[in-house]
Amino acid sequence: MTDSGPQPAEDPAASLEQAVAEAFFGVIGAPDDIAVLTAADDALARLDAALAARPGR
Amino acid sequence: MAVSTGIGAPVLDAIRTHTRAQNSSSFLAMNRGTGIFTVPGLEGVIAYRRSGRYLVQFGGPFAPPESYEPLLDAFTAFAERKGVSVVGVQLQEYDAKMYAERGFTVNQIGASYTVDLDTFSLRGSRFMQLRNKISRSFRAGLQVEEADPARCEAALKEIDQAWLGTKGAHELEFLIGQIGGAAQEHRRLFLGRIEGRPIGYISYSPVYGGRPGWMHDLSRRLPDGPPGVMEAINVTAIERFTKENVPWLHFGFTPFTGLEERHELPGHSPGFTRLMHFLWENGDAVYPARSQLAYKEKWAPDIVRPQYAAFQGRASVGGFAHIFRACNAF
Repeated sequence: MTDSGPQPAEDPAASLEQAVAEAFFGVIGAPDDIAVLTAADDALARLDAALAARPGR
Repeated sequence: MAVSTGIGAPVLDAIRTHTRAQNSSSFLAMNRGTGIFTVPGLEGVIAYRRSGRYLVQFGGPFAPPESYEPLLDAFTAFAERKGVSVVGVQLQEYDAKMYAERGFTVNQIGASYTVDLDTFSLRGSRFMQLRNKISRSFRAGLQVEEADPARCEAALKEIDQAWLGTKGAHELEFLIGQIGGAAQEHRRLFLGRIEGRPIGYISYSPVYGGRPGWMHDLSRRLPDGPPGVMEAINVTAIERFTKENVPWLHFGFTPFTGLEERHELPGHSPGFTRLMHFLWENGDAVYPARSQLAYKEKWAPDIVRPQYAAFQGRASVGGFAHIFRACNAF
């Protein structure tokens, strides 16, 4: 029998961070597409909100 | 308000005179194709390029204290009339604080690197690999001379064609040094040849202000040249500068490097900070930051200074991407 202990909680910001990175490369692919630009900035705003909501901040 | 492209005495005067921000790359404001924004009655200039829905401003205003903020305000109003946003790049610490106080979101995007030539030496174990590399290139027959680009156009063209051939179709602009044109009289060029064949060059731009000297600017080489060519050219230039009592050699800005939490200002975007760290780890396709930093660190820079981007309102991924587009990176 093994006790591996509680699994570490997944960092919710990690997926948002990935989304921002993907959005950055998305802008490179479509630099004049307003929808792409807006979505990229919105992804960053969501990441900022998630980081601001972390305990201790 | 006047908007013009091209260089002239007003731009050179501004970057020579208004050096409070200590922007070691300020000579890039002289680049052909870079827009210059001025306002009658206000001393100083703003250098910028349009990219899509953004005006990408290089550095802060090169202006005296009394016109710095009015010039910035006029520039943002100019952008607003055009229906575009301002994004600043390569803002120095002085600029960053000013922009943050005016409501811009300011984030560190990299760092610049400077060597103190008064104390610089290649002695010691730290520089053993560098010395060996330099020696190899000289043993391969490398000869380095300070050259006039007008007299070695064919040589430069040969190197450029070979270099750009390995880099793909995009020749970077705006935040990259140039050779030739009316600004050339202020630059210096060191050219390396092996058995008469041009093999590499480094262009140096003047740096004004509290750490005057030269900036290791545009540099290119033949891809099939021996190792150590750029290092040997640079050490030759350093020897010349040292004899001239030039105090500082600047290596300029490299994005995604030198990122430290202590450099961030109040109001910065933590999400954008994470993006910068991501691009340091994974951004080679965007900009070869790691290899560029490795070259600069060979020279053991004495001063590493944060460099910033500034966004009107919240941080903008699109705005940041357009900095690279303004540089013709994609």
